[in-house]
Amino acid sequence: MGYLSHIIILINIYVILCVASGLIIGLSRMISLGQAAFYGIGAYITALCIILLDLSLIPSLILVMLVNGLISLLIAIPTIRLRGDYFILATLAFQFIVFALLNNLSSVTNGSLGVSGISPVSVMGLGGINGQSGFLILSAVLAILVVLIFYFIYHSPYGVSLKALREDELALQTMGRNTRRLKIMAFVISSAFIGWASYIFATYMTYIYPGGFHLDESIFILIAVLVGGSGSIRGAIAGAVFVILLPEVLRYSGLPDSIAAPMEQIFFGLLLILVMRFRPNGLLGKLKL
Amino acid sequence: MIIQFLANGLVNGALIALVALGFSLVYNTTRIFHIAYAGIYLWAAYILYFFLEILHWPLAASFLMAILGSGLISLACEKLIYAPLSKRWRSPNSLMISSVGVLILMVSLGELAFGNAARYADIELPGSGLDIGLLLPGFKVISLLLVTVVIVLFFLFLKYSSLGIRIRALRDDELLSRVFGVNTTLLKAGLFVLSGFLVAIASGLNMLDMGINPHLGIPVFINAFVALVIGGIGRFDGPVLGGILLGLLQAMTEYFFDSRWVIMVTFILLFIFLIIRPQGLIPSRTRAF
Repeated sequence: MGYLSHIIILINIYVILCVASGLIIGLSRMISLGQAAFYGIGAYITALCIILLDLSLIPSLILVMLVNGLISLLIAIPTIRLRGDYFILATLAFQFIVFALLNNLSSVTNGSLGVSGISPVSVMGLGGINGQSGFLILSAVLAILVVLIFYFIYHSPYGVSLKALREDELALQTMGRNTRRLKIMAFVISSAFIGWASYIFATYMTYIYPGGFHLDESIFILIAVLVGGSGSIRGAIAGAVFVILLPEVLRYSGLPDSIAAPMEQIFFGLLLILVMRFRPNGLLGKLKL
Repeated sequence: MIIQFLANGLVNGALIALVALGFSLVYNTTRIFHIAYAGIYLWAAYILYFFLEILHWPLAASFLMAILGSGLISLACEKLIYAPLSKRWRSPNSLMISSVGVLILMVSLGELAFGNAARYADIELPGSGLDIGLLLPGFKVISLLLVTVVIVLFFLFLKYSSLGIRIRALRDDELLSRVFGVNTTLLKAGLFVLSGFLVAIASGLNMLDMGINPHLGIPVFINAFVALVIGGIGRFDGPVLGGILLGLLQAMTEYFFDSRWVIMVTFILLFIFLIIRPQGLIPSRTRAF
């Protein structure tokens, strides 16, 4: 039971990450390699909320969202006009800058050692959440909430505009839409909700360190969104479940760790190549790439 | 003391310039965000290590094998990954994502074959007896000279040979060069091979001096791309200038701050260029893409 609920909590965290990232990577086709940076910022803000400010669940969730949203707004305003490769490069740069800051600003973030002792969540009026069953419920509730919110966004006029943006940006501009604002909004919404995933991750693990928010993590999110199926919520959820379950399956195959870890990566790499070749819209996606 | 750092920076800059030049060969002509190039850099070094340390071949022969092998891997990337996707009119994004897949594959294969730890060439480096009161060890002087010769030869080749003229024609306008009877499919394959050759020289020299580990490819690639953006995309002299400037700047960062901040300064520079001067130091006179 302990192991199973651990996996489900991880899946819930990744569902939030992938559904939120899916809005920019999948739906509006802005390939970002900086998603883990927002994940990391959110986790450190969570630590700040809990250790220094002693906030309870709802205020910290709101604060994490606000900070993540604000930082992503600051990043989006100059970079959103960059197209294609340049945008990827800018998000990659952001990823490395955040990692370097988390790793090197030892006086603030405790450097590569990370921050430990993030105490369990306290919910006003309900006492504290701790133990796995508490986190299971909390993560499931937040994941379902995120899926519902994004379902609403995808089917709102705004979501449809984003879809149109991906198909033909010029046509959308001709119809009088401010595509720059559409993109900035997508970027901010996505990063803000990634903050929720960080919140669960940080409180559940009670310990965070910069190595957990490196480029590999960004690539991992990218794989999950693209393999599952870009442009649909179903696909993002499937991708999240898939990337969490696959390493667990490999763990039971009896390979030693030094082989299993690269094997897992090799599998992901091959999968990415094959999906792009034969199902460029992902395994469950509907939209053309 | 600072002269010492700058001399070192010049050698590193020359190596970055060579990597960037190889990348620009592919990027300027095909516009593929060929991130798998980082994996080719890695494998060129591993092939050199394999022939030198495991089969105990002489240095020159091993180096030749590394250059040939790297060209072959590069060709395989084009023929197996990019060409089939381009033929199906897939978007640049799907090419880039496939390239990420190839990179993951190559890094994990390297990890699987040679382990996570760094590998060093355990040989007497040429020029190590050379000590004529210079600021640099003999091998670095030899590297610098070799890289300079390769770059000069490459530019002569580009300017005067008929193949070089065809490469520049392809860069300026693919459709038009096809109309004039250039076999662009063959030429592109040749460009990938050539870029593999160039990266193998840089990678081999660096491996002999500093060793290689599976995670070295990505930072080198990033340096090269930043050099390309600084110098100006769409030209072949831009990346060389950018590489040398970046090498010197990184050396100064090490001197004035700390080596931990090198990647941060690199990316801040990239951000500044992307936002203020996206055309680079030497803007390209060809049409905007």
